[in-house]
Amino acid sequence: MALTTSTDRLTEDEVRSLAPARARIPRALAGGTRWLWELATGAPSVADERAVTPRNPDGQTGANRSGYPWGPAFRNHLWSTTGGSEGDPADVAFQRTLGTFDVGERKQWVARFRVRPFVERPLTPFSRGYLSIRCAAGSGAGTSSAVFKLARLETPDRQTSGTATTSSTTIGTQADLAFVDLRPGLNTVLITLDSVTTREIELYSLSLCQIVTRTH
Amino acid sequence: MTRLKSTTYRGSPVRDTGVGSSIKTRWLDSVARDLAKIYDMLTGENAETDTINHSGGGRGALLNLPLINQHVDRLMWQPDATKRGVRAFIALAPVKIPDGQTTYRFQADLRFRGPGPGDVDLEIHSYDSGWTKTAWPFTATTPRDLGSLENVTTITADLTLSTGAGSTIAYVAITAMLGEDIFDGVQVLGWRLSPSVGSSQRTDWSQDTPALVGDPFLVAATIDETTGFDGEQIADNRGLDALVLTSATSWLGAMMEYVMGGVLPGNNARTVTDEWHHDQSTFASEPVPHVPIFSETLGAILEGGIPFCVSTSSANAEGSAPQVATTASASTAVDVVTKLTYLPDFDDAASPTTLKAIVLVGTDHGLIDDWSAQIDTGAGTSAAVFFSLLDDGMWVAEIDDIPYTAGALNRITLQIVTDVGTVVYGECQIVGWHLFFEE
Repeated sequence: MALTTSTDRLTEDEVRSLAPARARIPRALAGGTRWLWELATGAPSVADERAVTPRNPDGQTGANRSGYPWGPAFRNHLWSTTGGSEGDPADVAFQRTLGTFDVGERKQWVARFRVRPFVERPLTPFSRGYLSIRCAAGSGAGTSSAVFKLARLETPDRQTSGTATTSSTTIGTQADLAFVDLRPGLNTVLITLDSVTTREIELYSLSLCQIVTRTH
Repeated sequence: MTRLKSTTYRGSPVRDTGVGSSIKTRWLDSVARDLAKIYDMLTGENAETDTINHSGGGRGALLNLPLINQHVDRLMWQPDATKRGVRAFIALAPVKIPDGQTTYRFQADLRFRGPGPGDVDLEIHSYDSGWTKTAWPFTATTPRDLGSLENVTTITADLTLSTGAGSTIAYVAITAMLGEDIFDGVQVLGWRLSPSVGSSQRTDWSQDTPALVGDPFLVAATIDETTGFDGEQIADNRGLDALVLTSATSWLGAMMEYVMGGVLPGNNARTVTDEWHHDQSTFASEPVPHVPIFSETLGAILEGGIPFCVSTSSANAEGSAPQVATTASASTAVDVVTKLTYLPDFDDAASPTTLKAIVLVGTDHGLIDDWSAQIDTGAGTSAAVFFSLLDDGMWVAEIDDIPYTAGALNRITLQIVTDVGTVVYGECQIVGWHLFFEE
């Protein structure tokens, strides 16, 4: 028994009183409900039959929260690092640093991480990863600043950058300094610390997140 | 009054909805019942148990979110020569396996100081009623350069992890037996564990999206503007009621926008007034899916909970899981590590029930069951004591109800709270931790 499926849209005029009783109305309502069922449940509406809805970016049936039309995307953790185990256990604060960087020093991290599949369209929610860091000012006086640059390994010249500044020796957060374009699957991203000026900077962690729920 | 609701999808035969069909009400009855069922599954209203929690099998599409995406970099294995013949966990982290998500691709980027990687075994350790160890075959690339990283070997394995009844804790580890070949050490640059899914599909949503009340219908529909239809409204002896047709069409369109996360094409006058956020602000029973945030290893440890390099000295050795010395004051929280991460807008963040953590520690000093692990997010703290994983010197704490700031960048600090007031080195090695949402 074939069940109704449809992508018809109804207007207000079509469903008001005294409107003609047309087959379009039951077809649109019954067929649209079938679509909704499959998007919500992630399963074909009829057992042993193919789903009538398109497959999501994972190649599966249903809305998988990877951005419109596959459901509103989550703010998502992508990748992170913390320092090696070189901390002093006698220090009860026991913060493990990524290192202390002198004025003029340069450092590069190669970030390799997997991104869940998403529809590759400009400005879709999962199409960018944003860098946030934990840092503090090191030895010296004044305000420490450092430029962070992000680029994909295959396109190192296409960079975005942001500047972290701090004059406090208390560890603080610098959010969303720069972003990098993402691809579904394995990503390799170069994160470069450059142009440390005025005063040493201490780094404690780096994180990349997908942060916007609909579009950028 | 009988609220119409189906137990599973009913649908309508083409013969009931096609041109020339007799005008009957059974198609509208099926639409009303199916819409009510979907509404209840999405919102958890009306005591629905088959809620959409993204666990597959008709409970919503799997989310396929990665479990581990960690950059380790300086973690080195430089074992003490006296520890030859002892198996070492050179990377070990706990993960909570989402229900229904069983197949995974594991990858690790390693750099060997000896011939390797022939003497490195990849094992997956799962825990149910006891430790069970399963060794998985892996492939290894020849060493190559990646950006500024030289001689990187990537090992890959495809894993099947049992989820059992409900989500299950598993322990993912790279282990190595100390021997001559890799005596000089191995560096874990980074590792990844993510669900195995097909390659990314360039989905072409070119088909029109289905029924909605379009222009000039200017009133924004909300998903809960109706709670369903009564049997009396769609009885055999009634005509086709314009109110029912309008409400059903509007409800369908609103739920479609709720599920899809945006305004349906061709209806720009409308706005989505409710989002599928799982924040339980509109729907108190809205189901929260299992969403892994991150899982990390913090350092190496030897089997049996034996400290990697240091047991009694005052310094941590590079590569070893960090030891937390007990502090001069009992019950003082000692910071171990702090992470930054955005967290989604789930349940009630002020009094949450779904943000949770697992902390894994090792010790060869016997009982630490008076110790606890604590998560501090800045929005509050939550703690749990450790319980033993039988005979492997491993202890785990499961922390629930962690407060957080919804939809924003959170500072997540792992802390250890001890119960003694004297300084003791090497008593507790902090091996790994995992943060996740779970109903």
